[in-house]
Amino acid sequence: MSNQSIFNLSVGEFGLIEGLVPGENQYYRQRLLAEGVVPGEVLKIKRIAPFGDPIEVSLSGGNCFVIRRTEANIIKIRKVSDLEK
Amino acid sequence: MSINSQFQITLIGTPNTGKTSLFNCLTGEQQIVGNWDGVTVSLAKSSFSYLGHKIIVNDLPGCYSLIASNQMTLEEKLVCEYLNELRSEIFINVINLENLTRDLYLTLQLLEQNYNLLIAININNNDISLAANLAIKLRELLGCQVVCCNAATGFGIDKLKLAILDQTNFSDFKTYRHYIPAQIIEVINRYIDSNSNNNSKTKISVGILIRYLEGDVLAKQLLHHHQNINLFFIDNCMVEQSWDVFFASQRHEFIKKYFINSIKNDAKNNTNNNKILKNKLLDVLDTIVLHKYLGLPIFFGVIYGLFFLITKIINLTQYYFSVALEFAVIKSITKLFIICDIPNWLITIFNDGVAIGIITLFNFIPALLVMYISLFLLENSGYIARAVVLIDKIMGFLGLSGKSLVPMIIGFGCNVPAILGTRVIEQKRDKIITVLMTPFMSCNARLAVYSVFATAFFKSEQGNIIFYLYLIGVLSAILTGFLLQKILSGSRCNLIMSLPIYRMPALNVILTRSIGRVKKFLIHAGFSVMGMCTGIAILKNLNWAHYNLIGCTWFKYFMAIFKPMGIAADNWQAVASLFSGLVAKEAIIGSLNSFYRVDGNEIYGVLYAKFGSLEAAFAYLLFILLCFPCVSVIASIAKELNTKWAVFSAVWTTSIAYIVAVVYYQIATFNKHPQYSIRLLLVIISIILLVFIGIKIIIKTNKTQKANTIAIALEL
Repeated sequence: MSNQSIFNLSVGEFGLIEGLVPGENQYYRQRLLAEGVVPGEVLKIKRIAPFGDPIEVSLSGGNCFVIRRTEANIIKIRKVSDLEK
Repeated sequence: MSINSQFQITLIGTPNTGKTSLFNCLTGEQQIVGNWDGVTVSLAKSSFSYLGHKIIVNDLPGCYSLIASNQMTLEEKLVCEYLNELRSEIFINVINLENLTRDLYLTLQLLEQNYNLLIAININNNDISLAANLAIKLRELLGCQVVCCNAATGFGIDKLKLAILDQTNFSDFKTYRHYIPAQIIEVINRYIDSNSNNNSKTKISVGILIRYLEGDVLAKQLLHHHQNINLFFIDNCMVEQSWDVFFASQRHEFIKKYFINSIKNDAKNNTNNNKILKNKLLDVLDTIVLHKYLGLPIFFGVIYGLFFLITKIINLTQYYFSVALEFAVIKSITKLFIICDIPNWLITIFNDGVAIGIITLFNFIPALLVMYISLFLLENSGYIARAVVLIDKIMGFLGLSGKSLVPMIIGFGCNVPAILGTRVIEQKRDKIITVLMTPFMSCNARLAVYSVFATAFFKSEQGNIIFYLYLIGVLSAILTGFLLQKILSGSRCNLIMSLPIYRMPALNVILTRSIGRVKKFLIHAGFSVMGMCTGIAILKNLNWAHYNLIGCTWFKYFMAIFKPMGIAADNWQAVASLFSGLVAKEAIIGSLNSFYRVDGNEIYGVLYAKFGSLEAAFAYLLFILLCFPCVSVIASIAKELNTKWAVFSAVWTTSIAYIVAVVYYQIATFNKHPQYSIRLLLVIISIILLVFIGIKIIIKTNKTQKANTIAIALEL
């Protein structure tokens, strides 16, 4: 199981979430978890702002949100090519 | 429920679901609603009567999760504190179909905590049949009453009120057993049973234990005397991930399985072509607005358009406002005074003081109104959220997030609404930095001063000079931002936000709200501006001829302060006019006018004679650009932050103004008096060094205080 970060994904690509890297920022972790960033979820990069940050992502549940790539590093994610919705 | 009883209910939910709209609907209040996180920043309270009962409603700011953490925003801290004290008996959980996953996540957390919960689905523009189907499922699986309502139209409000009254017979439905594995519940119950004999104030419940395991700092504090919780759970049940991820996964799996998937299926069956087309169009709109190459140009275009519009309207109305007011109101009141035999000196004070105060205040009205209307339009339509995303990275260089740019842009028109507009920034540190950077943005009043001076001194380079002045303002703001972010502890707030769906803004609501805001401002600033104007009028009209001012020693010392800036010792009118800049910066021109006693058109010649050189004039302009903002701005800073920061802002801006003006003038006229210049520059450099050392000391003490931040956070 490779440990890639969200930087490796480009627009339109899917990633399988494997977990969250433990860290100091409990609040950000809770926010991500509340949105649905849990292991087993599939995340799609919807669009990227100019200069590469922030990015808009969508989860398979349908909810979309905007996060900074630099902060989203704590998401352990693995790129997956074609996936059924 | 007995007749004539009184009880409390609280609205709770994620941000932007319509809690405040519902609050307004239930109670008839006019609380401010916005398409933006952080609009409801404090607890709002009101009441309504229904069928003989008095019901007190509390409106909380939105929160995303009940787990309290150290980096929480001020609003969410308020929510957690409130929930811990449990002052309300019934909770209305407002949810929305737009962000169902996030909303239901909070709902499940609330149910775990065993709150007496009633769910209100705020429909907005969505399909009522979707909502009705969802309501049935929620009732069945969660065991709560569910009411569909529309806060915007008032639909379903009566049903909601009836449901509130029915919410008495409440039993613990234990919804969590649907998604938390049985073994874990069993371990939790075992722990509670084995520890329930402890003489502790806090009764351990399933809810608190779950929060403790998830890392809630408040729960940790409440159960700190139970030191073996973690060991107990490690011994008795193992989960692969950390507890917070585990519980989150369980909740989301439950939500997805029973609610999201069925909503999706319902949507597929019910959609009509119009809706599909509308959604597609909005998506295309977003692609353009957030486009890699088009996005930023569009943004700057919008800002420029706003700026242009405001300047045009100010130019048009300001003239008419002043002239009309002056003629109508002041002349007639003066006549009235004369008729009533009011002493001359009082009339003069009215004319020179109070009247100018009124005119100044009213001059703000067109600017403020247009500002607020434009801002509300942008915000309600949903564009501002996109703008925040676009410039977030650039703002990152200043340690700020995208939200801080908007007030600063507005500041180019007028600083007052800009500062009042920083209330959308939740993080206190970001807000302080933004508010303190805003006064450096040249407002329209300053533009008026620049144009007069530019015409007098820099005829050919007028445009360039004005541009440089704006630029220096922005650079000073950036410098202030850099320094403040080093001194003020805290890191840049995280960005995690959802883009609201584009909406057509309701114009009548925006108009009402804007007028309300302008009224509030006028009342608040009214006293300060009036007082200042009257004071200056009194001073101006005291008979100075009795005192040989110029010969007076203290006066000589005072003027000596301004000599390094290039103001000659006999140019006291320039200094006095600076003080009238406290009232309004454009008043500086008016004061110079009256002091030099010339007609508006001829002032240019006198200016040149009095100031003596281009360098002196430019130094003066630099000072005006950067020095203390007008009293309305100071009042706004005091309102949005506190008096301490307002005073700091005045002192900081004036110090920067003085240093910049002096340094510029000395360097520009170096050859005329090299020794004097060198001595002066050395003094200034040493002062700057002292300030830097002071800043470094503050930073060091901040770092050692980091250990205390957890305690401070817990104190909420």
